[in-house]
Amino acid sequence: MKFWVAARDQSSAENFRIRNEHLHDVKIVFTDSLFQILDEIIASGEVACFLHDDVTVPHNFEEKISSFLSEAEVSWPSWGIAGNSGVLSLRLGGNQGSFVRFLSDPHGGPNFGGFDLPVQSVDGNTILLNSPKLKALGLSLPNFRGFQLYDLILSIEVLSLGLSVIASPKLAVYHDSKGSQSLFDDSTKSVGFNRYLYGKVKQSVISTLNGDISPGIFEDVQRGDLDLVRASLENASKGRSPKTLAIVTRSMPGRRAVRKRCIDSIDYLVEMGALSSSLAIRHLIYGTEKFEEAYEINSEYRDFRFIAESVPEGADTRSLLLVAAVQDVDADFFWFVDDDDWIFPSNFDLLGQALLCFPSNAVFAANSQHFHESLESSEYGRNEPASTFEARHLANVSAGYNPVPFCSVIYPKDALDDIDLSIGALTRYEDLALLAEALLRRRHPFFTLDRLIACVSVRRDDRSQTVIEPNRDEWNRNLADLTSVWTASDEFGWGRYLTSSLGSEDDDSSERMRALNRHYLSQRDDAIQQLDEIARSVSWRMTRPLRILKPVIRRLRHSRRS
Amino acid sequence: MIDQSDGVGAQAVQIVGDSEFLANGLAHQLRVLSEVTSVNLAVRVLCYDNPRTGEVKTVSESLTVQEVGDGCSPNQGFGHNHNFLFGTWPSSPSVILLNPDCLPVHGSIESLVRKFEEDSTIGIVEARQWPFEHPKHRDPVTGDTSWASGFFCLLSGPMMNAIGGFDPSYNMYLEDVDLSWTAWQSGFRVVYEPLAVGRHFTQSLFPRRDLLNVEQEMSLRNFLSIAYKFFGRQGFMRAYAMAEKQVSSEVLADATEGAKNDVIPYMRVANRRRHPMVGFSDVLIFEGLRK
Repeated sequence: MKFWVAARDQSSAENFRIRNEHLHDVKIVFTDSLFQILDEIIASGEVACFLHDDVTVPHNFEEKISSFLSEAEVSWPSWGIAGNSGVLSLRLGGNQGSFVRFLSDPHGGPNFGGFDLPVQSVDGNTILLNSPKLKALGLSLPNFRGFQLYDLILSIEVLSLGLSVIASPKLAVYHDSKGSQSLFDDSTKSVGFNRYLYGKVKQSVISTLNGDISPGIFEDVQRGDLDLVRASLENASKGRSPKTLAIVTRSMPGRRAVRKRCIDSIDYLVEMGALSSSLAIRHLIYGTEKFEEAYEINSEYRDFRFIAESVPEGADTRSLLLVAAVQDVDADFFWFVDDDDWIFPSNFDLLGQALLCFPSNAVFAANSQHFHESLESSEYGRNEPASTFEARHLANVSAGYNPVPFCSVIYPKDALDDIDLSIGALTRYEDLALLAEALLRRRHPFFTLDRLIACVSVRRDDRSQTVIEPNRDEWNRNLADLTSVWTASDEFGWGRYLTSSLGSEDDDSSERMRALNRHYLSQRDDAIQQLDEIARSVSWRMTRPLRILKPVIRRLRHSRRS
Repeated sequence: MIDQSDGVGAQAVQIVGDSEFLANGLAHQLRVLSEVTSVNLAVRVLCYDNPRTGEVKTVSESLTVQEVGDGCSPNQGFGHNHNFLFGTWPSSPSVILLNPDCLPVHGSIESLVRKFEEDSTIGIVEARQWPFEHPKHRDPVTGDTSWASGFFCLLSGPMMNAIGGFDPSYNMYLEDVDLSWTAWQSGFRVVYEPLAVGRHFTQSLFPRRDLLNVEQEMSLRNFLSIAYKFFGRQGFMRAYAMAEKQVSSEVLADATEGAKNDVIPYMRVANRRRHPMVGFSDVLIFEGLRK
């Protein structure tokens, strides 16, 4: 395979050859426009790799590329170009932003590893081009010149042809360039470039590795209809193996109204959500006993299973239901939506696409919303929107608290296999235990999406809702057990590592910390009040002379001994 | 051939959607409709990107559906499409408008009809949107409200005939506000019925931050237009000043051009008589438009 190297001068070209002498077929090109080189590579009709002259590749780079190419036939049948860093359509981890880096450069090192990821655009330091396909589909770049924006424009053109743009760790290199922010900024002011963007994409703000670009508005240009976020996911999903998502509803007797509402919302997703045909959805309902509505659920809705026979007395039924569902159901992903939750189906499509093309062992989370309701109003009654839970705080699980409701998270099957939720006698926090297990001990990669996908009902007058029970003893006992497990070994050490990076968040997590502080301050104030009451009491005042004398006597005794 | 029975003995329901909806979502919506009411329904559906007329189909004992579209030019907007559908049964006492992404809950059709029959001066009965209610004022006792959303509502047939239906010049968004204000000015009440509920998982409440939301963009253009239509030059200036605080000058200039060239010249002439229920404090739905 040929490596096309854009060299600024003879000296840079020579240096490139010396640093990368193990590359066999190198073509050095001196040019004043990288657009021109890319057009030439595509015109060649052969798979080729484009490199900057300040790139140093690893010793086995050619093998790595061969490996990518053979795997891509199966994993990425629609790949158009690939690079080593890019802009994701989901957030990487909780708070690491939407950029993935499989390279080192003067800015820093990689921030992820192990998996290829579909991206909206790649950085131009290293680009592998599927030229046979690009040529066959007639890709040609717009008539621009220069050394900026060619990578973004190539990515846009590839996505607009229905092909995918991939970031792969197999293309990892060292790139000895900080880039020039001022040159990039200047180039984004080009009217021709902005007209191109406006006429090509739907976005009013385009994320790039060098910063956001807003193309402005052009009256005489027809606005483009390419949605980079959607296209990056849809195109990458093409030809990949189908996936199954199991939505599991844990239900209790006497909750007919809210259960129906939950089921209705999932029906809406299945029937009207316009999901990819490659994503099959199975909805199952699990209960702990054979309650009277079981027949109704089975006959009117779908699979209902109760696990009464296998529940030992006093056991935590919520964990058992969860474990039973995972053992029963053959699915790639699990989404637990309890009977008093409901989903927001019209926002699910992007996450549904991500399930098809992101790593199959990844944990996914999106936003959720609390609603205050009353028992009387809890079917489709008046409600009051309350807190919003943003999925980007998911990594805060490593700080020891539950950052998002259970129904915000979608787990891969292997995060749940052989799960042991019998810590102590866990009856609360099984969701937090599961999240900590998946992210902190099993270390599954995780991605988040800033879209509302689930809603949670909080009913002040519903005594069956443990989340609002006023006596927190059971919750505290469970948290003590969990904390004991988490701190007993270094298996959860990654959590401590992650916690150190939380300081970069300037958002609701700090609000959470402030709330915690308020809690401690209020405890402190209570204690001070109690002490004041003691100090004012008659007995305390009567014994005051003894307390004054006590240290004097102690000092006297001490001096006698010495 | 369009069914000429005007849905005799049945409540008229109008749905406008695209080909994808007809292929994927309509069957589910009709199934839900047939489950949530005991009222006989005659549903007419207009496919706005491929209008055509089909046979009347029986979905259940109490529900028939017909695709109607012969003579309707491809998509000219929400108001135009619903006016076209209403024109196929002009003597109906009332029609129910249902968005393709809205699913009524049990008893909601009955609640809309019951409210409508309470008072012959009612022109529009608006259902409650769930899970996120429209944040707007309504009288807690009478249900009177300045405007009714078109996502799921009942329109009086006599009112539609009296005021000529929707003003189609808006194309999309705020034509329901226009219809409501015109109804008030023509002596019809617009009321909110919280017992009628539509599940409406609208994405417009959660616009993507990277996209200039089309709903917000057109709402801004139409906000300026409706201000001019009902309140004249002064109204336009006031609306402009309100918008100026929320959006960039570039976006506002674009919306102003759109209002001047694409909407205002084609609007019906409005009655600019003052009415206590006509005012635009509640229609700023373009809030959040990117600066």
